[in-house]
Formats: sequence, C-alpha cells, structure tokens
Amino acid sequence: MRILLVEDDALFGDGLQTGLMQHGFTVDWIKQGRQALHALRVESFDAVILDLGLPDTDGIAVLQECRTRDDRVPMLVLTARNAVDDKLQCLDGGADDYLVKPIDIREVAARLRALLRRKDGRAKSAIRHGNIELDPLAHKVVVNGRSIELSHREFEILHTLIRAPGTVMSKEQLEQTVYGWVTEVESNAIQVHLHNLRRKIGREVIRTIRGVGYTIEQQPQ
Amino acid sequence: MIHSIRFRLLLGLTVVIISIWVLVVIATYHGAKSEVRALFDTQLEQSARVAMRTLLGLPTANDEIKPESTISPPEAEQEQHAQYRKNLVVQVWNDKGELFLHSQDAPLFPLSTVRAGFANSMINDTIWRTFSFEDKAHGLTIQAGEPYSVRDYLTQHVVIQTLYPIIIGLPIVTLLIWFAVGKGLTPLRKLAKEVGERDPDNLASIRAPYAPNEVQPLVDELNSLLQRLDDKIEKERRFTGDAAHELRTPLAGLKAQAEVALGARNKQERQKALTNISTGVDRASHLVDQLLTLSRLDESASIDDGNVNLLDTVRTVIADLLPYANEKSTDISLEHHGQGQSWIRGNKEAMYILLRNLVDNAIRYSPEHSLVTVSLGRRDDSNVIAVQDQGQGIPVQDRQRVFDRFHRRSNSEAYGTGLGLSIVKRVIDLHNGKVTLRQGTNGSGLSVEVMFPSVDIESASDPLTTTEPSIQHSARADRLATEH
Repeated sequence: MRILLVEDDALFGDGLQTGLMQHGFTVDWIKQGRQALHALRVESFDAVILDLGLPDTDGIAVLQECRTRDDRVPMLVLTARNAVDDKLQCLDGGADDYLVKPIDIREVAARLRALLRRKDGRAKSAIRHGNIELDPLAHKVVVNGRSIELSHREFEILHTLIRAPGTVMSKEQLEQTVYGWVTEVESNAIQVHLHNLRRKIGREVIRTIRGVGYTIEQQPQ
Repeated sequence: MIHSIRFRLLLGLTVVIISIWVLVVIATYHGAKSEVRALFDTQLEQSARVAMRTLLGLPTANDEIKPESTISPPEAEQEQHAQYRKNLVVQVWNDKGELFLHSQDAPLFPLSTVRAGFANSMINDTIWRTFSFEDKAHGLTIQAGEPYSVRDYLTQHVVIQTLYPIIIGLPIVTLLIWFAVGKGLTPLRKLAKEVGERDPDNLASIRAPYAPNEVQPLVDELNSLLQRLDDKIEKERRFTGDAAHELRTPLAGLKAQAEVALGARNKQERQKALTNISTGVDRASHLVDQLLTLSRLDESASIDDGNVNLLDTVRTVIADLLPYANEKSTDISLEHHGQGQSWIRGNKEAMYILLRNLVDNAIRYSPEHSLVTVSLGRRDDSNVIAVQDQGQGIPVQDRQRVFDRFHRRSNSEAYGTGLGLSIVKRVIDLHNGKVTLRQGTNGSGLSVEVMFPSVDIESASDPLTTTEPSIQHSARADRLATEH
C-alpha cells in the first residue's frame, strides 16, 4: 500500500517513513504542502498522512483543497496540535482520522489499515478472492488452504490488484505503488515479479490486458 | 489605628470642634466678666446711694443715731440669692471719721482709702470692689463693697452653663462622626471585598459604579494593572503552548526513531535510527536551551548593567564558533572599521547571545566552503555590526516574519529551532537597538545589520554625564545562560 507522508520535521518524518516501511507500507515523504498537492494530483496514493504545521501552507489548507477537487484519498492528520477545535476543524473538513504526536508507529499502521478497509468497504483486513486469502496484517497469503511464501514486492502487487478486483492497473501504477519514489526501478521489474507471483498462486488469477495493464477479475456474484 | 481614615477624621474633627468650643468658652468668659462688672458696679453704686437716701430720709441730723447700728435686709431676700446678698456691705462714716452706721457683716474699718468712686481693696486677704461717695451737706461718707468672689462666681456660672452642652454633646458628636465616616467608607470596604473575593483567574476589569470620585482613580489604576497582567499572562500562556507544541515534535521524532531501531530489519537500519536519536536529542536540548534563554530575556524589562565592548564580544563569539565553522569548512572574517573601541550600554551576556545567534545562523545557512563576514563600524552615534553570509538569503516578503517565534522558513534544509532570531530581536529591543535584514553586498546571501547607540567610555564612566535612564537589574548577567 502506498502512503504519502507530508511532514516537515526531518527526524519525525524519517522515523515514520522507515517505521511504516517496516510494517510493509510503501511510503513517499514530502516536506511541503504545495508539493504534496501536486503529488496528489499527478499520482495515486492509498492514503495520506498529513502534518498541520507545514512551513509553506497549513495542513488544513491542503486537506480542504484536496476535498474541493473531490479527491477522496483517505487522510490521516498527524500533528502536535491537540486542541479540540483543531480536531473538529480537520475531521469536519474532510480528514478521516486525527492523531496527536507523539505516536506509536504500530498504531499509525493499524489506523492506515483501518482506513483502507473502510475505503474498500470490507469488514475485515483479510481479503478473500476465490481460493486466495490475503492477510495484510500478518503479510500472509493462503491459496487452496496452503500457505505460500511471497516476497515483499510480490505481496504488494497481489495486494494492490486483489483489493480492487476488476480495476486495471498499469505497469507504472504498480511500480509507484510497490516502489514509491524511493528506489530506482529496473524497467522489467514488475514483469519479473508478476512472473514469479503467477508461478506461486496460479497463472489464471492475474490477467494481462495488452497495452493497458493487469487486473484480477471480479468474482461472479 | 493611626493609619485609619476613620480614626484620623474622627480625631481631626474632634480636635477642631473642641478648639472651637474652647474659643467660644474663652469669649463667653470675657464677655460675661465684662457684663458682670458693669452690672455689679452699677448695683454697688446704686446700693450705696440707696443706703444714703434711706439713711437721710429716716432720722434727722439731730436725731441721735446710735452708732454702730446695723441695717438688715428683709428676711425673705436673705434666703434668695444669698450668695449675692450677704456679700454686699455698706458703711457710713461721719465727718469725725467714726463709723456711723454699717450693715450687718461690714468690717469696722474703712472698706477703702479712696473716698470717692470705685476702687479695689484688700480686705481679710480677699479682693473687694468698693464704691464710696461723700455727702458734704451732712458730713457723711458712705462706702459700699462686695468681694470679687461674687462676681467670679457669676462669671464661672455663666461659663459652666455654656460648657454643659459641650460636655454632653461631644460624645454624641463623636459617635455621629464615627458612624458617618464609617458609612462614607462603605464603598471602599465593598471594593476591598470585591477584590478580595475575586478568583485569581479572573482578570476582568473591576466595575465599581458605587465608587466615589476619590476612589475612582484607584479603581482605574487597578484595572490598568489587571489589563497589563492579563496581557502578560496571555503572552506567557501562548508562549508555553507554542513551546509545548515545539517540544512535542522532536519528542515524536525521537519516539518514531526509537521504534524504527526496535523494529529494524538489519543492522544498518538500526544504526541509522540510533544515530538519528542521538542528533535528535542534541536538537531537543538546543531547543530547550533556546526556550530558556528566551524566557529569561522575556522576564527582563531592560538590560542596562554596564558597558559592553562589542569588539571584544564579537571576537569571543567568533573564537567560540570556529570549531563549528571548520566543520562546515566556512571561513569567518572580522572587519573593524573606525577607530578605538566600540562601547555600548547593556548586558555582556545578552550581547554575546545575540552575536552568537547571528554568527551561528550565518554559518548554519551557508553552503560549505563559504565565507561569513562580520564587520564592526560606526554610523553617526551608533555602533553597527553586520553579519553577512553566502546562503540563500531571505526574500523581502519574509523578512518581517523571521523574527516571529517558532517561525521556520520553508525550503531551509538546515535544522533550526525557529527561535534564534526571536532571541536576537528581544536582545535588540532590550538594548534600544535596531535590526535590518538586507541582501548581501554582492547580491547573494543575507546581511543582518544591528545598530546600538554608542557610548563614549570616558563620559560613560562619569555618572553625571550619563543620560541613560536608571538601571533595572531584572535580568542578571549570571542568569543568562549562553546557548549550546
């Protein structure tokens, strides 16, 4: 899952980014509000962690602008401001959650999972699709009752596709989701991961739509 | 007791009333005395003449008048006004010098040596008033007299009569004044009660429409004090809030880094997190130091401890920051324009903090291998220090805001507390100085220029020529911790 972290404090930003990555998230970190707005316009994220006290513009302004342009990305406000007024302003202004610093990274991770679950309209974090069961919390995949070992990247690709069955994801979108901006990506990296993934869970699960991207088909109701 | 308005008023009014009454009594005494004298003298004279007339009317000259016969007043009159009556004596002397006739209590010697008119004479150790006249036709001399004690008695009596109302009235008047003053002071007591029962958090203005005009200035001053107190507390509250907010961020960072270290997937990741924790703690302590410095500077109203030699202070600052400058391969140059020393009035430690912040900032926001120039000079009656770096500079629109507390400029990669320039501003304000931000002379970087009124050290050491206001020692040099 790809998270956009908007935080100006170097020490905290670095800690949160690394910490969330330890929990299996792909985290892209931006220190300024305007850059964040730009990134949200041109790329897609599964959730945003937003600090309020940004150097160039207030976090609330970022939140409001996002909602004004009908961006429904889940937003978690993470700030040192603990006044009720701030909380009300954020939550009523479109924030999905509000956390006050200092925080426990595990809690942030859990809240992010909750936000995604809610966004996807699921009751549980674990996702079942046909004979495949994926548990994002335990980072486990079970196919036909048999637990299989996936690498971090393979897991993320499967997670991204299985969360939204029927949606076609381009190679670039998958790259962003799995790698973020952190790493230099080999041009065929996604294909290599998909190849390995198909080998482990079965060829027919992920379909390639030529010239467009990849998808996991919706289950018949 | 002596500090009580009620007591003072009571005492003052009572003294005034008693004094007036004493004057009245004295005036009454003298008036009564003079009236009594006129009245009694007339009576004495009349008594003498009546006695003579009576005497001549009754027996003839040929009648044998028994010498030393007495005249007795009627019984009834004897009882009434006895104190007046019995003292009046009459003597009738014939031309042979014999006592021809006298009243009952009269002495047997002449009442007075004066043979005509009024006189005072000493009889049996008391002073008497006498009246004498001669009836040459009959060869008789009549003398009437009475002791002064009669007159004194009457005068005293009149005076005592006027004293009665005073003696009875004084306690009543005193009591009335006591209650009246007490009633007059009710608004004061009410005010005291209102102030006394106030919640310590309630710094709203006191409304006292009942306060008399005399008390209104006190209420106004109290309200003005409350207002100033409220402003100060509000300022401190905001500062504390900001400070707590600012401290929470590095703490959150430390916690996040600690969690990263705990959950590290490899040794390298753990090492990085631990290093981050270490520098994070340094930064948090720096922030705490800056906060303490600022709060100490805030406490003081003015710093005017003595004379500070700017040249010496700048040299010390540069020497102290050289290791940091070397770390960043930054050179510091000091230029001193003008002659002699650069003295200003102020606090040495505060000035050190100011200059250290400026030079520290210049090094911090400069790229590596650059030059920081500190120049010291004189303009008109001011000493001017300019610190110039080769960093990014500050756009004109941001220059005012950088002095705000906790203001950190965007885009700045360097770590700062957002307090350095607030501290600089505070020290400058305390020293009646001025600060200007400019673009560096060669079009890049930032030049911070501070100006302080200079003092001539010879005249400054002479208290008579020192025009500076009195020194306020609210910020002691020893309490002003240096940074880092």
